[in-house]
Amino acid sequence: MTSPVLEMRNAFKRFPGKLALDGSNFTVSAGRVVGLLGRNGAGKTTLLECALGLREVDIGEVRLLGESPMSLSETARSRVGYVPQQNDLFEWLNAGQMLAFFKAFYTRWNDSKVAALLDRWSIPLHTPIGKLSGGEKQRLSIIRALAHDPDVLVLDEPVASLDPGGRRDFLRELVERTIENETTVVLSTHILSDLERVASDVAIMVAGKIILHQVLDTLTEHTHRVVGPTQLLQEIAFGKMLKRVEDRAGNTTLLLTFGEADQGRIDDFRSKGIRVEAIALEDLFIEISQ
Amino acid sequence: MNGFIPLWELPLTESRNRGWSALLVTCTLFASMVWFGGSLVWMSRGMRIGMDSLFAFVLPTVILVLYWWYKFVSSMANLCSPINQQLTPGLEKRVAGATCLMWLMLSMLLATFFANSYLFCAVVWSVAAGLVQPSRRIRATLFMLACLWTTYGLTTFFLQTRFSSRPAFAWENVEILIAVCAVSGGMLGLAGLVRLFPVVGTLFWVAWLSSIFLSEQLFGMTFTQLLYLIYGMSSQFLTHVGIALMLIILTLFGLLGFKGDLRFRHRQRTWQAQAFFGTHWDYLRGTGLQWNKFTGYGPLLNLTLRQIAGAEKCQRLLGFCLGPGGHWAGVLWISAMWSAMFVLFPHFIPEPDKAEFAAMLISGLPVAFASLQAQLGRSIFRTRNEQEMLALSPGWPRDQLINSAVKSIVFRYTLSCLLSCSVGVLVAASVYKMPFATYSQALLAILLSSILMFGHALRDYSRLNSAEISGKLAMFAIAMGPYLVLQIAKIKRGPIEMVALVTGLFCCAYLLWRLTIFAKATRVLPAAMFAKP
Amino acid sequence: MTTVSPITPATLFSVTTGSGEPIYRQLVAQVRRLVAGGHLAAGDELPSVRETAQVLAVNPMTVSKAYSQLEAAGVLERRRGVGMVVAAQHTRAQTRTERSELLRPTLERAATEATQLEIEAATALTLFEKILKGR
Repeated sequence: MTSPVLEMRNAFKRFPGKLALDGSNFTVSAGRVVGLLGRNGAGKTTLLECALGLREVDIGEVRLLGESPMSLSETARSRVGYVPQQNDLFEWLNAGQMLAFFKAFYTRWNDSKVAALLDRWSIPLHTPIGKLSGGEKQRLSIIRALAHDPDVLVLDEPVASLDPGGRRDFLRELVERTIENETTVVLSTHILSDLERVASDVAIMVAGKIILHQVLDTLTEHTHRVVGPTQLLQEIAFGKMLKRVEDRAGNTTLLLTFGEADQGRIDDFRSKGIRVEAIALEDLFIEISQ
Repeated sequence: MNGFIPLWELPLTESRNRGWSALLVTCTLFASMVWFGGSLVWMSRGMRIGMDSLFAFVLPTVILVLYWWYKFVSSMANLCSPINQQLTPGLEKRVAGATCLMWLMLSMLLATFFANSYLFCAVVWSVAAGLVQPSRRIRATLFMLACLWTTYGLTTFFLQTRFSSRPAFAWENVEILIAVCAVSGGMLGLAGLVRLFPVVGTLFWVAWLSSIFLSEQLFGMTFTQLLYLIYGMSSQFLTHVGIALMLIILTLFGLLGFKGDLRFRHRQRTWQAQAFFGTHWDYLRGTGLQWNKFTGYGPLLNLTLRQIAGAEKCQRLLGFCLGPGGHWAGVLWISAMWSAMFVLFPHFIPEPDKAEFAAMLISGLPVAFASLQAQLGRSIFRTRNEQEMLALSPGWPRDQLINSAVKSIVFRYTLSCLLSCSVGVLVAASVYKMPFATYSQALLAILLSSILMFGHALRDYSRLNSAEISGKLAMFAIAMGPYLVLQIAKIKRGPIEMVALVTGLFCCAYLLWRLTIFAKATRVLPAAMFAKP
Repeated sequence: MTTVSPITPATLFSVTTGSGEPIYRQLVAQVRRLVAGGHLAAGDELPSVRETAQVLAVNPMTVSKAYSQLEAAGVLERRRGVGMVVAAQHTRAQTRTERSELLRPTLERAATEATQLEIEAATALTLFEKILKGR
């Protein structure tokens, strides 16, 4: 097994009055597309910034491409692409100048791809970046991050200000990357439908902790909402309980993860009149992060 | 231009307080910077040029500067700005070597040609370099100050024993030596203390200074006399003004130093700083600067200039020095500011020293200049995001022409600094009727600084290639040439001067050679580093 | 002018998100239905993983997971140089039992809802019969 592209162990990061990372553990292996979910302020941006060495963790160990991100080698840096949350970058340059400026840093620069994307996403080349619209800035930021064909792509809410068409286009681009270069992608977003399409894994972050990190298909396939009388549900002693809520009427709602092996046992319960439903990613996320 | 608000209109906008405090803090800081630089340059006045003074002054300073360079600059190169991060270890040494040679060359040449006031130019620049380096600059600055202070003291001591009628090792000299040690040791120790223990350190600093003044009063130590000699000025009043200003500046640095340390352990203890800055503290905090490896602000100057040159939180781009988003009208404003400063500040000095003080201030311009230059990077790449992007981009670019947009912004910035400072100098010169020699030297120093600044900025922000380095050297030669010719015509061709001249020229040649290596390295290394197996 | 184009992912698949059903399962079910109903005949070539992933904007691993499950189930065959084709045994539409098995998930859902609504089995069956005949 190859070493993980990104590894974060027991990371803590405190800002004045707030604990942004509270012992996060996060490992991403090569070629995976990991969707990072979390409510606003859960610490996603901090996690990504710490992973890239843009902030230093107070406690904990972080490795990016096998190196400490605080002193990333040139080679490693040329393999990393990053789209930050804010896109108000280099506002006094125009798109062409900005890309030319960055091109100078990289030995690998996919000119044809850049030109194609600029054309396809119709970004004006000669208008100062400050005057572009939010969506255009975001697309430009994505182009800049993709231009050097990075092996690791870190995207912090890359589609927040894109329309559905733009998002789909961006997803296609991302899919092409993962096919062609086996790019490892870490993507934080609030748009779960996008995530469901492209992500191979999902990590859910709550209050500075990654509380769940699983293969997306396994998560949606194996996690069920189980509703029934409390008494009956107490007998369930298999799978992994993610959440449990009891209401006044004596009913309990469980979020239960179980594998194929437990299918027979759950069918027994079902025959006793317990409801077992599949749960959509969005509901799952909301349930867990509440 | 988009979002442009002239500085002078700032007080009329909705954020009046911020506007006024920007003006206030800028003026104060510029004044203290030019004073600081001026006093350094002025110190050399009256110092005799000769083998003894070269030996006494240049050697220890060279050693200290070398020590400082290897102690701090190497870590700076690794840690600080994303720009500096690009230096690879081998190149770092070359750059260090080149800089030292440059320094040596300058001191030799300047000592030879401009026997009076420009002996210290190189020192001034090296101090300025310490002042403006990001992140570790507070430690570096304080260390530099301490080193320089020791050197001044020792030099004066040597000169006194050499030139006074007193015998070499009289008890009086020991007394002076004690004073020198008290000052320099204290500086050095307290610099570290304040950094580590802000509150205790600051208190101790105050106590230490009072004790020196007390001992002077009680036991008649020659501390004031020493400073009097050091500043080489003609009145005790000026010396006291000098001490007071020096203390203010050092305290400022000290306070800001511990603000930086708050990150580590004293995060909640901002009350001292609040008491110090009063209501302006909110404004300063409002700039949203955080001490981190990218923006580490250090001296208040950077903070303020950053604010003026365009702060991301306030979302306004100000017409200052034609940085990004600047406006040509900014030159007018900043010229007026310099002029006012050079005319107004000396006005508070008693009559016989007025002109002298003004002249001293204008000779300090290169220091302020160097700080401005350091500011440029922060105004070009002024948001944290931008700096992050730079930090994440890998090493040297391939051998290619620099980005025209960056080039033009650097040029406009340099030009506006040059113009505005020159106007300020000329206004001060005409008000105080300075002799041509005084202000022409100041103008030349500004020109020289601006050329160096331009080249430096180009290298930093656009990654100089070999062609650019040759161009920079050519510009340097063009700037220095006429002045050198003028001075050579006047030179007294004694053996010492000839030795200094030859050494200077040799260093110059060596430097050129090293720079070619450096230039080659920038071209060859990336190819080697990125070569695919 | 219409041309006979090869099967494109867009005509073959439709992906819905937010349903709780993994995308690879949706793909598997869709291919199964098409094969069972005879819309895809033996030897018909399926679009490549890459093409499918790009057109649907889904992770290529999802597509290849779906394909390999279909391959394991004998619905598809990997043919050298061509890619995935519908397996040889599916020369004609599948037997009734096989096809009706595909209806099971939908009926299961209906059964759950019937239980929730407390509708008896007989009533539900009559309703279903009515719906089938009404069409």
